Amino acid sequence: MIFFSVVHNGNNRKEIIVRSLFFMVILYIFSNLWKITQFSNEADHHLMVWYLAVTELIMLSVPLVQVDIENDIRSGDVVYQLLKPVNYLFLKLADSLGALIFRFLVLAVITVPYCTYLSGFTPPPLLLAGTLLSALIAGIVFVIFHMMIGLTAFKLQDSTPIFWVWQRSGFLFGGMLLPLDYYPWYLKAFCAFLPFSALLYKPANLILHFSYLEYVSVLSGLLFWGAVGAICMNSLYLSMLKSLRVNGG
Amino acid sequence: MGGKVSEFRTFIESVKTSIKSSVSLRESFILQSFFMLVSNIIFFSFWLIYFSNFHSVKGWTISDMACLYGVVNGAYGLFSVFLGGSRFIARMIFEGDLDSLIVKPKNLLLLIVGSKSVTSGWGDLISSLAFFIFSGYLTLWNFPLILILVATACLTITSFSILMGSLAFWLGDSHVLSKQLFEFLLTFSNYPKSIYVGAVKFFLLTVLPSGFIGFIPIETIKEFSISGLLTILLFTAFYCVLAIKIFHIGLKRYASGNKPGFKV
Amino acid sequence: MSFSNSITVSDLKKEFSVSSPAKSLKGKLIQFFSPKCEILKAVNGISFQIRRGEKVAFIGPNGAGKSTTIKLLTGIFQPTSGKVDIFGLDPFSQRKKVAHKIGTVFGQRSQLWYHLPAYHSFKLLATIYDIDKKQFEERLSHLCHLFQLDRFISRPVKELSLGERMRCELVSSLLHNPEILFLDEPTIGLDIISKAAIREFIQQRAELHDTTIFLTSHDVADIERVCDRMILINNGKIVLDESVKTVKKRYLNCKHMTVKADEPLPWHTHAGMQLMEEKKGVYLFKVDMNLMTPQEAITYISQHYRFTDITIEDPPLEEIIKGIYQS
Repeated sequence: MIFFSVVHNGNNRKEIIVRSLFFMVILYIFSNLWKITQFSNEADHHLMVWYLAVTELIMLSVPLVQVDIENDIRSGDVVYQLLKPVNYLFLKLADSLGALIFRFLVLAVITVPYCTYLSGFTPPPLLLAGTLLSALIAGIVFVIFHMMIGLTAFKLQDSTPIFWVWQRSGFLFGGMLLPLDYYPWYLKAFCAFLPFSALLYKPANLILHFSYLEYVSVLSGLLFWGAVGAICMNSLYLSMLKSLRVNGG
Repeated sequence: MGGKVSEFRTFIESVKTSIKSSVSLRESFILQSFFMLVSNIIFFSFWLIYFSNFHSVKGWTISDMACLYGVVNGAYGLFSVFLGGSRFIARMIFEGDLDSLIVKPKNLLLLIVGSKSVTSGWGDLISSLAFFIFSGYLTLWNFPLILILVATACLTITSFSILMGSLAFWLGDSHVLSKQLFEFLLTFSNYPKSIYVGAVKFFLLTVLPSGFIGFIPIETIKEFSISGLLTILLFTAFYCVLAIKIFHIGLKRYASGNKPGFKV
Repeated sequence: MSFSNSITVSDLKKEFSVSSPAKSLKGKLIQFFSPKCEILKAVNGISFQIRRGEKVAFIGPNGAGKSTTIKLLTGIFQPTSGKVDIFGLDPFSQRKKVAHKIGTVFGQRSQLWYHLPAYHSFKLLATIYDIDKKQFEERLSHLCHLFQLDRFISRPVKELSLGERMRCELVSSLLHNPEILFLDEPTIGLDIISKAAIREFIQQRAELHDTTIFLTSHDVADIERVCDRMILINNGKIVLDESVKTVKKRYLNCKHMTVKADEPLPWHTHAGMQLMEEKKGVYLFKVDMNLMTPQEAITYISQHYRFTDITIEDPPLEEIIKGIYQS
């Protein structure tokens, strides 16, 4: 089912072209910014481009599944979907993962040569592969959270404000443009309690400071937040099912 | 002369009605404006953190950055609130909504541009004021200049929007492409001049005029020069005329009925 | 140039070059470099004159060229060749002047602001049409009274029913006292009562102010009840241009007779009467007026069969028109 979704997403050429263009534009702008920034560590301005590439890769690969789920709920289609033999959540998950994998692959393929060109430097292949893998897993966890946000539409009619807050928080508290190390200490401490640092900053930071211990820590953070997301998503789903059975469509 | 006054009066009344319409949805109005305001502040927070670490980049400080944000958000806010209809040209062309405006006895482009007010623009206007105050560049002396430069940037954005919308006369359902190019325009305009070099800089002063929305006005505010101001005014005038011309060429095509992909 | 004519159309033609999209990649590449276009003749040489105050129905099957013609008459489209004359003006090149003289109601499209009460849309239209404040107040109050809008003029348009909305659309189109009213499917989607009301309003307007009415519709009742003249277009050409009365008389060579019976009617063939359909004891006959009169038809049925109810009437205009299309 995931494979089918990947192929299906391949047909939407316009979208992926536009996303890739945006990706390249952002990286171009920031690579120039980093070039003229006076870093305390000279090597940083090569690596910073890679850092941004990883965070953007995650953000841009994740499909907007919460919009799909909200539309299903709003239009009432969700009731018919629930009648299918396969669990609705699994269906949506498979579909989203297909989209995620397709976009991730396309953007990853662009990332390696393009960032090499911009920074004049390529990280060691094993490090890069490990980082990209953790980024993909982060993408999967993002999908779970997006699905959860979509399900809130059942109680709130409109999940857009929640998603909006989520997205902006990711930007600020996930260290999307600048690693959290540059943040003032109180902000950095606050960020540790939120999922965003584990989903964006930690995987991308592997490019800047890699160690096997760090890698394990990143993966376990992803696993933890993935579990939290899955539990919340499932409980929202069950409460929705219960409501539907009691009250009708 | 009476004709021009009448056109102006119609435009003002159009805009007033559009604003009334967008504000009538009280909840949505407050929410959208608030979200836009907060959004702009969050994006700016990147620079707060950046400059707390690096203090300045090629002569630019946090004040300059705040001023840049003031100009871009102000221009975009004015555009959204008062000239917002230009955003929907592609959709109007494609869905046939242009017809009910063509049969009205007033300038078509003015009717289109004043036909909608985008609520989130109020958030941009408020954040623009906040950024200007924070930047310290807003003084009694500077105020007229800043107003002029925000207005010219707004006109440039509007002209670009009209150009993008006019693509639909040739490409049919192009509103996704238009939207994306428009986003690029704004993305590029939000960064300091020193980032852009060579061919890209030239590109941003011609094909995609982000330069005239962002860094050129800032340079003129930082260090006023008559030539700087004149360049901006001339470019804006030229760009507006270009947009209007292209729109009318597209309109002729529409009137000849050769709309790509449309039903007859 | 006759000033009693509000609309004059002479040999009007409108051609579109349409490119059929290529399906294969090779086809697409070939099309990119040498695009192949077909000429579609949407309007293929039509001519007619409409006098001031006439109420004309412009009808035809889908794709016949109706919408294109209205767009040519209102200045949206430029003719490929031929001439359109609205009170001596060319609607395309003298758009603004003509705009003051015409009002339009496009059934599927609204010119009202959705979230605001209709009053605000009216006020804006007053500015667009340069109607001064006093005139605007007078006309609005008159139209509100006529169309019975007072109940809902201050409610947002989105809260109105389709019938109420259509009345507001009509008022929008009449504020500037146009001399010609173009109506494209004005009763589409309305319930029977609203349709009747709209037709009544249009008729009244035409009669009181000598407004020329140019109406397209798929609803034959619109034609029968509002218009006195009918222009039928098919494949871009005018097939028929007659008064509604003449059409009915000339093409009416039969009548429909409906017979209701409790017991089954064992029908035998008859030269002058043809059984068209039977459903649950209701029999529909077509009576050939060339072969027998209505009285003869009723007499025959009465003499040979027992029935509980009988009606004899003209066939619907719809059928007449269908017959004309097919010939």
